[in-house]
Amino acid sequence: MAGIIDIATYVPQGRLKHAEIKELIRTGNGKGERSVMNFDEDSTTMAVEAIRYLDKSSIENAQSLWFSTTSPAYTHKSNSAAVHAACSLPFSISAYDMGQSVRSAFGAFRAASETLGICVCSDSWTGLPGSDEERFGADGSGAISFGNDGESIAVIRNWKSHVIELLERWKIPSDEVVQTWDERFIAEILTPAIRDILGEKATDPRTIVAVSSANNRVPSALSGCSKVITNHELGYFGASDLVFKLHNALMSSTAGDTILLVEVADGLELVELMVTEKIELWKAKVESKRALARKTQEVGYPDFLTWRGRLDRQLPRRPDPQAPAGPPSFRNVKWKFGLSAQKCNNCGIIHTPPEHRCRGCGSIGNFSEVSLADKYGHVVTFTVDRLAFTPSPPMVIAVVDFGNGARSSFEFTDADVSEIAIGMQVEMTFRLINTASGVRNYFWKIRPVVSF
Amino acid sequence: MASNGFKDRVAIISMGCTKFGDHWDKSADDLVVDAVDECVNSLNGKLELSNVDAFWVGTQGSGMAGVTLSRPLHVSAPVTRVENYCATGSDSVRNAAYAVGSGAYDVVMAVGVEKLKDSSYSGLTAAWPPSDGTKVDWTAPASFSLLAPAYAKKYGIDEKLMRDVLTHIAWKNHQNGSLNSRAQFRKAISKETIDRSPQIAGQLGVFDCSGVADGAAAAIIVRAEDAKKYCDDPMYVKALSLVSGTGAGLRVSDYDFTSFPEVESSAQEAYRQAGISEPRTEISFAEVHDCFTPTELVLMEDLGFSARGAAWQDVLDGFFDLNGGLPVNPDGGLKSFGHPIGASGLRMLFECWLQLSGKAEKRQLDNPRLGLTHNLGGQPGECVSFVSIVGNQLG
Repeated sequence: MAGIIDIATYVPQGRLKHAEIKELIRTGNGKGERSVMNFDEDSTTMAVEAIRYLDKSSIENAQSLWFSTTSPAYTHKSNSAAVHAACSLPFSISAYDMGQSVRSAFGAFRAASETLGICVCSDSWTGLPGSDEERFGADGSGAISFGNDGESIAVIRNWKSHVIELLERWKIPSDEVVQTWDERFIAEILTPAIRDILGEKATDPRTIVAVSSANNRVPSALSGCSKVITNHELGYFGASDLVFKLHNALMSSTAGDTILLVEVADGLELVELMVTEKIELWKAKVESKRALARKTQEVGYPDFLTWRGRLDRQLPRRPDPQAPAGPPSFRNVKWKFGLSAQKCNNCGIIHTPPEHRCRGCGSIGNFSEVSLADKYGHVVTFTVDRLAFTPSPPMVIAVVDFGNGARSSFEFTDADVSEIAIGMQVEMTFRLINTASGVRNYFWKIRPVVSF
Repeated sequence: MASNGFKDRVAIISMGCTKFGDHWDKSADDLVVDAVDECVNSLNGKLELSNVDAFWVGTQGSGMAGVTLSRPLHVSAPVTRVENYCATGSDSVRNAAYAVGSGAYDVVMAVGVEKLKDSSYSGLTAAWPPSDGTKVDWTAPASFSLLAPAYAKKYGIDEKLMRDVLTHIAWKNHQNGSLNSRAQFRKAISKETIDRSPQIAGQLGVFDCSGVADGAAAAIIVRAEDAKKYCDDPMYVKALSLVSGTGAGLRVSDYDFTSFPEVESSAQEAYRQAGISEPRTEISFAEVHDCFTPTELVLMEDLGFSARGAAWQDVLDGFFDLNGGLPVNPDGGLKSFGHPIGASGLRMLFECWLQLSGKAEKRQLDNPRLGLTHNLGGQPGECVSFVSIVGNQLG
C-alpha cells in the first residue's frame, strides 16, 4: 500500500488576539489568539506555500495534485491549476479541486494516496464578527506527498467510512455567512459512531488518535483512548485541520505506532496508518526547521475586519488596479506562476521576464528555463510608497538581484518596514497582488529570509 | 545611432504658453486654443494660423489622434499626435523641426497639452495595455525616490546632508517660480516647510514632488533662413536628441540608480550636435526635468554640469540658483509649474524663448546665449530622455 513521504504545514505569521475582539465588540473571554492570513494571501497562495515546504524530490515524483478548501479563490475555475503552475508541476501531472466542504479534505487525502500524488488542504476559517468561528477558527494550510510504502514515514493500513447527511455546518453559495446547528446535537449523535469506528484499537497504548472536528464537544467522545492529539492552540483550520492533526500525531509517534486519523464532517472518515522507522529522520528535519520558524506579527482587529471585507475603508485617490488579461497571463504562465526566468544558452544572460530576442547577444530561440522561485535575492534599493494602492499601506517595493545577473522588482510582504535595508537577503513567496474586475492577480513577492 | 546634427537649420519664431494650474473652467480644447492664439497673435499679423503647413500635438492622455488639435482649431491640415511619456511635448517639437528642416513644409507648429485636473486622482496615472499583471505598479514618486538613498550611499552623504541638498533644490525652484506669473505655485517656500512636508515615497515629501496641473504651450518653427521674415529675435535650434532606453536597469544587475544612462547619452549627443565641449561653462541656463528633487540632483551630473559625485556640493553652493554660475530651472521648473505631461517640454522651451529674447522680466538672466532643455519620461532604469539646445545667435 501507499504511504506518506513527507507532510508540511504552513501557518501565516499574522495573529489576532482574542483580547482585541473582546475590547472592540465585547465578545469572548479575551484569552488566546488565532492565526490570520495576510491581506495578500488566500487559500490558493497558502496551498502553494505548504507544498513548497515539502521535500523537493517528493514534489518532482508526484503523479497528481488534489486540493481541498472550503474557501476557494474561484468557483467554476480550478484553483488546483494555479497551485500546480506555481509549483512548476509538469503539464502532464493531473490537478483536481476537491470542492467546498471540510469532508473533501479527506477525499483529497485518500485520492492523493491512491494515485501517489500530493494532497494539499488550505483554508481560512472564519465567521461574522463576534462569532465562535471567528475566534476559534484559524488560517493555514498543509500538504502531504505520497509514495510507495518502502519510502514512507507512515503506511496506510485501512480506511473506514460512516456517511451521514446532517445539518451541522452549511452555507448556500450566495450567502455570506456559515450557519451552524447546536453543537450538542452533533456531538451527542456522533459519539457512539466515533467510538464504533475507532474500535478497540484506540485503547491500545501504541495507538495515537487524531480527530479533526469543528465541533468543540467532540473530544469528549474520545475518553478511553490511550493517546489523543489535542486541538491546535491557534484554532480549527477548516479543511486543512486534518493535516495539522496528522502532523502533530506523527511528531508524537515512534516507529511501530498506529495512528487513527478521523475527520468528523457529515459523518466520519477514518484512515489507519502504521508509523515506520523513517519517522525519526523526518522528525529531526521538522525540529531543525522549527528553529527557523518565522516570527509572528500581531494583526489589529480593524485590519482583520478590513481584509475579510467586513469593514470598508476610504481608498486612496488612485485608479483601481487593472485586472490581468487572459492571453498575456497564458503566454507568460511560467514567469507569472512559476517565477521561471530565461537563460540564454549562448551568452548566459538571464531575462526577467523571458524575452524574444536575447538582451546580451541578440540570439533568438536558444533559451532554457531557470527558476528564481527557490533562489535568495538581495535588496539593491527599495522605497516605501505611500501613494500606491494597497489594502495594507504603505506598499514597499524593492529592486532585487539574484546573484546570477538577474534582476527584477517586487513588492515586499510579511516584513516590518523598519527592518528593511539595502543589501538584506530576501526569499520569494507566491501571493495575491490584487483582485480587480473579478480576477485574482497572482504573482511573487519578496520577504525577509528567516535569520539563522 | 547618432544624428547627423541639425545645428542652425531651423528656428522658433513664436511661442505661446498658458498659465499652468487648476483650470477648472477650461478643457484641453480650450487650453490648446489659448496657447495657439498667443503663439500666432504675438507675430502681429505676419503669419496666420492658415499659413501653418503642418502640426504636431503632444499629449499623453488628453486626446487621441490629430483631431485633438484640428477640431478645436478648426483646421484641416496634417496633424500628428505624439506620445513619448513625459518627454511628449519635446518630441512633438523634435518631429515638427525635422519636418520643416527637411524642406517638406515651410511653416510648422508644435503644440503640447495636458488636462489632468478633470480626474481627482493623486499623482499621475496612465492607461496601460492589457498585461499579465506581473509588473510592479510603481507610482512615479516611488520609482524616482530610489535615486536618493542610492546616491547618498554611493557618495557617503548622510541623511541630514542629503535632506539639505534636496531641500535646496525644491527651495530654489519655488523661489524662481514665485517670480513667474504663469506658474501653478507662486509662493516661495521656506526650507523648514520643505523639510517638514508629509512623506509620499521613500525620503520624498510633498515638496520634493512636482504638482499635478493643466496647461498647454505652442511653438511655430520655420527654416533658419526664413526666421527674420517673421521676427527680430528668433530662437535657433542647435541640437535635438532623444534616447529611449533598453530598460536594462530594471532587469540586469549592473545599474546602481545614481544616474540615468539615457540622459547621459542624449546629452552627449546634443553637445556633439551643438559643438559644445564644456557644458558647465558654455550653457547659459538650463530647464531640466525636476519631476522630483533627487532627479534634478542626478541630472546635474548626467548633463555634465557637475562632475560625478559633485552635484550635491554645487547645489548647496548655489551654483544652480538664479544668480549662480549656471541657473537651472529659472522659470520655477516642474516644481512650480506642475507637470501637464504633454505641455512641459514646450513650457521649458518657452522659458528659453523669454530668456533669450530678454523678456523674462524679474527672472531675466544677464545676456544668455545658449539654453538647454531636458525632458525625461519613465523611471530610473527604464526611461526616455530628450535634450535640446537653443540659442539666440547663429553660429
